[in-house]
Amino acid sequence: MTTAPLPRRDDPRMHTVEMAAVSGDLEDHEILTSVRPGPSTRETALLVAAGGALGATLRYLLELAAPTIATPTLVDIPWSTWTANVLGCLLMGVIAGYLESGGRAPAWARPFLATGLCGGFTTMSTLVLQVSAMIGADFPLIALEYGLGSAVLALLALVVGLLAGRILGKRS
Amino acid sequence: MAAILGLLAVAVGGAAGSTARWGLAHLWAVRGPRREGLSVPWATFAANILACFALGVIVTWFGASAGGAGRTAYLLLATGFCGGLSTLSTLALEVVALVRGGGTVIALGYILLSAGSGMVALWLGLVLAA
Repeated sequence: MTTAPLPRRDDPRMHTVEMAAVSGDLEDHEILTSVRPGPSTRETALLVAAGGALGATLRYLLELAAPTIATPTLVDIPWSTWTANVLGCLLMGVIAGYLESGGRAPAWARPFLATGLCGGFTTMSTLVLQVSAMIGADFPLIALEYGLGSAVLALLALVVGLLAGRILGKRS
Repeated sequence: MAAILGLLAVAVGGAAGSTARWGLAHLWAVRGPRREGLSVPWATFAANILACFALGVIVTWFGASAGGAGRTAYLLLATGFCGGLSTLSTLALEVVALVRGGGTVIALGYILLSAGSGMVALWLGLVLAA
């Protein structure tokens, strides 16, 4: 598979919220808020809150549907958390890929779906708790398998989502 | 009825946690230091670490509750708030963005730092709350 060369620093595709976050470059933030007037700060907060409420609730419903059974001698992989994390990263990738490749979306989409829904649906704190509990229960190998597996699958899902999103974005 | 209360607790907590996470990112983008080049996304890092610490505390206080107010508190604060405050999707996106921007070493450092600090923060929360 051939990969495209990395976009140059001044490529508009680099001017995403994520790049602004990792580059610490005020220019990106200014670009995002001036070129594309979107929801106000208050509106954005409300959108994030709504998305977060939905994401957390969905994650909880998954947990109810597939509860993790843990006993002193048998440790189960928390499939509900795993699923929520991987699916959340997949969706995040799709949204990011779609938007960065020019896909048209309403202004509320990113704060509600990405920051809110995906952010609330996925969880790092629960993952860390579960890994720590496995280590504490003397299952270090399962802890490593689950922790590393979550990280790798999450990244993989994100990249797959990015690729899919870019295809969708270019079509739109 | 209890089921609805539980769902409500998670939703409210999730809303609050996610908003707090966004608030940190917003503050960092607007008020944080300007730097050339790539760096660790400190806002997401802070949100994740705070969530791990808070979860340690909440698990100690309410983790063993089987029902009633304790269980509702756990759903509100742990499942909801900490689940909303922490995020794996944003972290993954940032890692990929770093790698695409040429900062693979920073990306790796970010992952390891998040994982390690998260576990330390959780442990601190567990210990301090006891």
